[in-house]
Parts: sequence; C-alpha cells; structure tokens
Amino acid sequence: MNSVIFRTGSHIITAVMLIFSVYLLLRGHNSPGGGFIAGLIAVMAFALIMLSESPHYVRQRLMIPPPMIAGIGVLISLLAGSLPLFFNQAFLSGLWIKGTVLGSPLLFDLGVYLSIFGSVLTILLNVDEELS
Amino acid sequence: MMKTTITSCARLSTSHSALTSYFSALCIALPMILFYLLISHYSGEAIQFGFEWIPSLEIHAYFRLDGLSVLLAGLISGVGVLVQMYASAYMKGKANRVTFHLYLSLFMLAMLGLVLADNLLLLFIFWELTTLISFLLIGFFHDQSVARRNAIQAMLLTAMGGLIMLAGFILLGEMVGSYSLSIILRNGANYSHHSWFLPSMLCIITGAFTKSAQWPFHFWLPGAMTAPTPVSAYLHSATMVKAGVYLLLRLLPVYNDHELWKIILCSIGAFTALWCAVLAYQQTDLKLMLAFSTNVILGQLVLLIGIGSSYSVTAALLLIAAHSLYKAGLFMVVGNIDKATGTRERHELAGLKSALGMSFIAAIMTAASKGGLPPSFGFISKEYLYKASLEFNAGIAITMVLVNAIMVSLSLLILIKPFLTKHHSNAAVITPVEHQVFLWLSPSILAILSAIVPLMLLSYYQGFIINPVVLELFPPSSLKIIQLWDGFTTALLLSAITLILGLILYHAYPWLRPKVSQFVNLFGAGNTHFQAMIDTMIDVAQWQTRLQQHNLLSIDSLQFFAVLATLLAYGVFNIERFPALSIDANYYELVLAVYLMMTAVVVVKAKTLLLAVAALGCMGLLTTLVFLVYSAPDVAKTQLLVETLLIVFITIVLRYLPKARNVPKHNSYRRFVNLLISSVVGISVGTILWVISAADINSQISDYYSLTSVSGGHGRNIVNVILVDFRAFDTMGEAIVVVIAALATVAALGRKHYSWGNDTGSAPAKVKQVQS
Repeated sequence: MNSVIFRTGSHIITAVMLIFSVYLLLRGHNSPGGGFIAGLIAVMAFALIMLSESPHYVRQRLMIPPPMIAGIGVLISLLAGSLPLFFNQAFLSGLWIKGTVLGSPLLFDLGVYLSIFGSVLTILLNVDEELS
Repeated sequence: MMKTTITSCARLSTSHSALTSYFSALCIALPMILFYLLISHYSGEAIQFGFEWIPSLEIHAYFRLDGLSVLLAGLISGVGVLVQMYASAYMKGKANRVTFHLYLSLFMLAMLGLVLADNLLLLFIFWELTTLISFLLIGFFHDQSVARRNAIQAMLLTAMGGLIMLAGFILLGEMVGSYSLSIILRNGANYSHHSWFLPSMLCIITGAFTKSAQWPFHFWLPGAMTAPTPVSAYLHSATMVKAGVYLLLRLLPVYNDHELWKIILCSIGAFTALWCAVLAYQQTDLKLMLAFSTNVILGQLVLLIGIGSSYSVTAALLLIAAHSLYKAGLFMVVGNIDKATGTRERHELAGLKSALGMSFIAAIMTAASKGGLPPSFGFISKEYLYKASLEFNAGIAITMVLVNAIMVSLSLLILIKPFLTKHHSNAAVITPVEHQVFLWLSPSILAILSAIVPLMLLSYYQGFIINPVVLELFPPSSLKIIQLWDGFTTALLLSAITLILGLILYHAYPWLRPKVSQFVNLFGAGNTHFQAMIDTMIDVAQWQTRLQQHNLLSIDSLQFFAVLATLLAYGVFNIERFPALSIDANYYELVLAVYLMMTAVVVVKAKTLLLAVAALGCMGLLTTLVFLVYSAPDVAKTQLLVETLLIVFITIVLRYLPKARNVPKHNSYRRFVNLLISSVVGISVGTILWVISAADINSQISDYYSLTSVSGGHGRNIVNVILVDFRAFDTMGEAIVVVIAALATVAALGRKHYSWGNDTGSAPAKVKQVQS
C-alpha cells in the first residue's frame, strides 16, 4: 500500500492507539476497558504499521520477539496469581495496597494484556510473512 | 521455560567442567542427606508428617514413615547415592551430563514421595511423575530411534496402567470415604462385600502389574535397557519397578482375604517368573539377561504377596532388599564391561579378569547373591521364598526351584565366560577403565552390603523392617525370626537341588539355548504385539481423519454446520411450550434489525469477496450496536475489535491471493443444500433465543456480582472484576490457550521467516508431511 497519506498517517494513529490501549488497560477496573480489549487495540495499532510498512519493519522496532512478549505476559499473570500465596491467601486472590488503586488484579490484567498482544501479533506477522 | 533452563545448564557444562563436578557432588550429597534423615528419624515406630494441601478435594500432603516405606526409602536414597556416584564417572565427558544428574535426582525425589505418601491421590501424582521421568531417562540418548521407541512404549504402558490404577484408587477412596492410606488400611477390609471392592482391586492390580512389568506387560522392562547403565541400575532394578510391588504390599491389609486377589497374584506372579526366566536364559546380551531376571524377581515378589502369609511377607521384604543390592551392582559391572569393550554380547567377551579386577570381585559377590549361595543375602531371601511356597503349595515350590536354578545358571553365564576365559583374538578389545574410582567403588559397596547384611545386620533388619510390617498384618505368634542358619530343612534341600540343577543348566547352555530360543520364538515377542496394536490405532485414526477432513474449507464448514443444524433442530422440536409473541421494541431496534437483514442479503449475493467481506464487517459493526443498545459496553468493544481484526486478516489474504478475490460458484444442488442448512440454523437459533428470552431469568448470580464488585473486587466495572478477580483462573487459562494457539500457528506456518533461538528444527518438514 503505497499511499503517502496512509503511510504518514498510520505512524501518528499508531502512537495514539497505543496510548489509548494503555489508557484502557489502566481504567479497566472501574470503566469499560481491561487487558483483553487493550491488548487487541495494541495489536491493531501494529497491524496498521504492518500494512503501511512491512512485517519486518514491525519486528525490528519491537526489539523483543512477540512470542516472548506473550510468554512474559503469562509469567506476569502467574506471578500476580502467586503473590497472595506469600500472604497466606488462596492462589489468585486480590491483594491491594491500602488507600490506592494498585493491586495484584492490575498486575494480572497487565499479564493478560501482554499475552494477548504477543500472541495475536505473532499470528498476524506470521500470516503476513507466509503469504507475501 | 524449564527446558531452556536445562539446555542452558547443559551448555554451561561443556565449558565449565568445574561447575559440573560441583553439581554432581551436590547430586551425590542430596540422597546422602536424605538417607541420614531417614535413619535418624526412624526408630521402629510409624511416624506421620506433612500438611494440608487441597482440603476441599481431600488431597493432603501427608507422609508416613513405617517399616515398609523406610525399607523402600532407604533403598531409594542409599542406592541413589551409589548410582549418582557411578553416574558421575560413567557419564564423564558426555554432553548433557548435568541434565542426567538432574533427572536422576528428580526421579529419586518422586520415588521417595511415592513410597512415603499417605494419601492415595498424592501417591498417584508421584507415581505418574516417576513414569514421566523414567520416559526422559529411557530416551536419554534420544538421537537413537530405538531409545525413543522404547521410551514411548514404556511410558504408554505404565501411564495407561497408572490411569487404570487411578480409577481403582477413586473407587477405593469413595468406597471407604477417605483417601488417607492410614484410614483405608484400617477400615478397607470391612468393605469386602461392597460392589466396588472387586473393580477397585482389579484396577489397582493392573496398575501395579504394568509398573512392575508382570506378564503380559513384561516386555517394556527389557526394552527400557536402551537407557544408560546408571538408569538401569537405579530405576529398572532397585526402585521404580518395585513401585508396583510396594503398592500391592501396602494394600495387602485391604485385599489379602479376597480369593481372587490370591489367585491372580499367585498365578501371574509365578507365570511371569517362569516365563521371564526362560526368556532370560535364551539371551546373549548380558544386560538383557539381567533385565529379564529382574522380571523374574518381580514375578516372585508378586507371588509372595499373593500367598499373603507371614512367611511370604517376610520373604518378600528380604527379597526386595537383596535383589536391589545385587542387581544394581551387577548392572554396574555390566556397564563397566560395556564401557571397557563396547559390547555386551556374551560370546564376544573374554579375559576381562585382569583388566576389570575390582569389577570382577564385585561381580563374584553380587552373582553369588543372585544365585543364592550361602551366606549371601540372596541365599536368605531364597530360603524364605522356599519356606513360604512349601507352606502354600508344592507345585509352586517346584516351579520356584526351576526358576532359581535358571538364575544360578545366569549368574555363572555372566561370570565365567566373560571374566575367566583367556582373552583371544576374536574377543572384543579391552580398554582399561578402572582408573575411575567411582566406576568400581559403587558396585563394590553394593557387593559388600550383599554379604554384610546377612552376616551382621540381620537383627536390625528384623527389628526395624520385618517386625513392624508383619505385626501390622498378622498376630504376633506368627512372627518369623530370620536367621542365616536354620538347621537342615526342606528349604535347604531345595536350595541344594537348585544349585545342582543350575550347574546342569549352565553346562547345557550351548546345546539348550538354540532350542529354547526356537520355542520362545513360537509366541512372538511381546513388544511386537504391542507395536502392532499401536500401529493399528494410528491407522484407524488416520482413516478417520481422512474421512472427516477434505482440505476444502467449504466442505469442512458444511459438515460442521450440518451437525449444528441437526442438533439445533432436535432442540427446537423438543420445546414444549412456545411463549406468546409480543414485540416490545424501540424504533431504533427495528431499524437495526432491518439493516442487519439487508447486510446479510448482501453477503450472500456478493459477487466478489471484497464486497462480501465488507458486508460481513458491516454486519459485525451492527451487532456491536445491538450490544450497545442493550448496555453491554465491554462486550460491544470486544466485538468491535474482533471484527476489525478479522477484516485485517482477510485483507491480508485478499492482498496476496488474487485467485481468492472472486466468490467461487457452486452448482445449484450444492447451493440448495447450503440454503437448507443455513436456514435451519438461523430459524432454530432464532426460535431458541425467543423461548429463552421469554423465560424468567435467574438473577441470583448477577446480583451477587453487582453487590460484591466494589466491596470484594475494588472495582465498579463488573465484567472486568469478574475477569481479573472473581474468575481470574478462567482468564488465565484462556490467556494461555491464546498463547498456545499463537505458537501452533507459528509451527503450522512452517517458521520460514522466524526462528526461535538458534536451532533450525525439522518441524516444518513434518507438518508438510502430515498435510500431504
């Protein structure tokens, strides 16, 4: 897709979308949003770049390979789930820092975000590379 | 993750041999510490320790140290020290030796858990862990196809047995009302008239028989000999194969009075002993001789448990220890022979005495124990085997004499030809290996133990192991005091006959072996039957796959929707009462509905795929609006994103595959079928939704969530609170599924452009093969 407008615009839109995805991730607990949706939006942002540039371009700029991002995401979720074990609570029970909105469910959601983002992006990039 | 750690460890090992030595020292120290802990804590009284693990499922991590478990645990940790020592010398200079030590240590821990567990389900977990680790160890030289095949065979067989055993455990546990072994042993026998008693017994026997390699499952054990020698010495003689025997012995209080238990155990045990003795006799490979004779001993142990008298249990307890000591030692000696000459074929070996002096001494002492020469440990256990079987049935006793005579001849076969004859030009070249101390130290210690236990430690053995076990099962009056010299008894006479018969069989070997071989070949080997079974299963699976999959997406989806339509139509026909039709909708809902229908028509009538896709996307967006109308913003958002992603994917496909741009034309018959199926699905789904939405909705659950969302989950977005807090476990599972799907996609696409790490695996070729 060689349209200059698309190419230039996609970079700006991608940046906005990424910020928006983080925003959705963070506000998810009280308003519509959350890790799953935010992860999909982040994928979409990169899909835009992928369509306007190339899969190779995306891979270069990601630095960490997408499957590894997915793996890290699962590990973060597991970590968030195991944290309560150290406080004598059941696996995956919510831990909250008193008086703040920070807690283990947010960490868990971050893990979901990364694993969805990494996995779907892996599929997307591989499908595009396979066909091209 | 685990695997990368292991491989990185292995990579380290080649460069840092100091680190490797340090690690193997650690692996030797671990069983030593455990052995010390066992000895220091056990004083003849049963001890229980542990904690509650999963109270809601009644799985508790309780462990129990009593006579039986301390015997097994002592062997596991004690022989474990020697095997780790031996392995550190045996695997010297090989790649992956750190991995090897690690597997051995893991196996030891799992095995200790198995014999110490006081909970049936916990025992099962450890049981399967030993199966898995033994798979890794049997297939340790996984560049050899034989090793891979045997590893898979052993795992399939023992894991299958394990699952059957789990069914037995559940029956037993539910019947007694507890999974705690202590309670089951105390009350289990009272349930002998329960209808589940017999099935549970049969299932557990099957599990124990697969693990302890009884006929007809005996063949996996000789197959497992493709493993490195330390594994054979440890898993396949001293520890893992004893797990089945341990289980049977452990559950003896529950099943001992059942008639069928005695019949099955005695007949299969005796038959396994006899048949495998014959199989061992016709081998020429020293290691296989030992492997089949392990089968023999396991058969004898099962027989002894089946007899179930005070004599036989005493004999079994002696035989377990005696066999573990001498068989592990003999395996190590054969390992040394293999290392020195590169072969284990009997006829290629000669004149090993001078090169393998220490191994020879160890071999004499262990083989004496195997043959049952006084005053070895093997002699005592054999005496008690005879006493127990004489008391039970004369026919069994005679069979055992024959079996043991074959064992005597095997001892002589292993000892005399390879070690004592002169080295000649045709024999294998011998390279000295005994400068590595651990290679001969471990078998020597085992050999010395085989002699020391009967001479000096019998009273300890009686007090710590035999008395507690026997007293738990039988009245004190029936307790047998073991001693080396019991006077001139019938058992002693049988021993003498055994020795003479063994000598005869040894001398007849060159003449008799081909005949026995011929006879055995009439029946075919067990593993060929098993392989044929597996092959048939794979053939059926492939036939079934070919039947269902056509490599044509339109037919695959047609099949799928045809099944769906049938099920849905069946559901609709069974609806008893249709609610009254009342349309209570706002104008915008009606508008949405009309638009949805219009886009549907466009999708069907579109001539190009691009138009169809665009219309489909439109439909998705309209559905999103429906969700919004009914105030489900999170669902709407997800739907929107999934629709968008779908469009992105289809765009990619359309961009690169010009042939896919036009909608393929079906003939009119096919279009009629499509129409039929899609209208059935549509109408059925519509009807079902109509019925469901008219029914009263139980709002208990949603009320609970909306009430506790803020107080329990600290969040006002109920959907998200459910996802990350109330039902976070489900979410985690789903996230993992998505990751697995991504990895599968990478594998299926052939990884042409992307490599993970530095290996260029052969996975793509395999995938292609399956597809074609």
